[in-house]
Amino acid sequence: MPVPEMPVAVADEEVIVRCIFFPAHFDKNGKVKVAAFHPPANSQDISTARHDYVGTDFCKQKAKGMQSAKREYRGLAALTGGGIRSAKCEIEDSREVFFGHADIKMGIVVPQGDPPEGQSEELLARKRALVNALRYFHDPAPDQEAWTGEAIPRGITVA
Amino acid sequence: MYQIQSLLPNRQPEPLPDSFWQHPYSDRYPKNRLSVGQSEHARALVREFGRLEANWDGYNASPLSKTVTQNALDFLNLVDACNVATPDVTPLANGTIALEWQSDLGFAYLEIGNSRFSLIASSGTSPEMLSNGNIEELGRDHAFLIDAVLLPWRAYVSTINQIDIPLF
Repeated sequence: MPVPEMPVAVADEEVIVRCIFFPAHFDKNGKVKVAAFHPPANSQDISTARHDYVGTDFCKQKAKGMQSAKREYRGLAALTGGGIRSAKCEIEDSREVFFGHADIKMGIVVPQGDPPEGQSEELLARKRALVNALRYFHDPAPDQEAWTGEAIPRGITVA
Repeated sequence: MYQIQSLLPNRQPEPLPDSFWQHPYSDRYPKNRLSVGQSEHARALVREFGRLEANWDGYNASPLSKTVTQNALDFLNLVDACNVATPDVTPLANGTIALEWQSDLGFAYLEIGNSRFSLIASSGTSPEMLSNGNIEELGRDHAFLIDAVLLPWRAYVSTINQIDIPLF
């Protein structure tokens, strides 16, 4: 497939993917939990990939590259740009990290080692809204290089 | 002007009667309530979280400090002592720990850090309650508040321990 021209702006219908790892991102019922969208210290950014432009195999290979003995790749969480904005968050291209990288901007910077002062309720509401807006695609064959699971639809038609 | 103190229940831990499980809502509440095995499991998880290394989530997460781990263990001990359900425990990417309770009747979410905590609780029918503060202030009243939102029918009638009426 030819590499499409990728605009900086993320469209509402564009599909955005976050790699999901076991055990950190799953609750005891096997559902993606809100902690999967908690930013690292001194940041408001949640790393994602612009699936419509890089494809599912690329997202899977990135996820597999992030695995460790205590962090097992299990699947991909898909959201749309519009779904992210509905959760009162923003989505911004950050291709300086790698082509296709984008950050969900939570709008609340979390400090190191403490809850955000006076903003915990809003942060939790946004994380919950993101979890409610996502669709989780389980990878039935995480050891294989290519994606063999249910096709993740593209929100944007690319050339 | 007068002041009323200690409106929160001032009660001691007590075992649940067998009739609790026959309550019409009891099937909506986790059956692991008061389970010694579950609470010890939660404490073991917290101790394990304390050994997480930097970037444990693959997204540049911070390790948890010994202080955060101990603060979480202290509150889990308090939860046990106050006869409150065992929460799900989760490390967060900025180096804090989240304790979460959920029943069909309410939820509570407590984030514990080095020096501060943040508690969000709702019984489902009432607006969310929010309590932020220094970690030293996190105590039995918060455990009872969590219990009250999860099991409203178990909420005790509050006792007023002190009323100050100024003399004019």
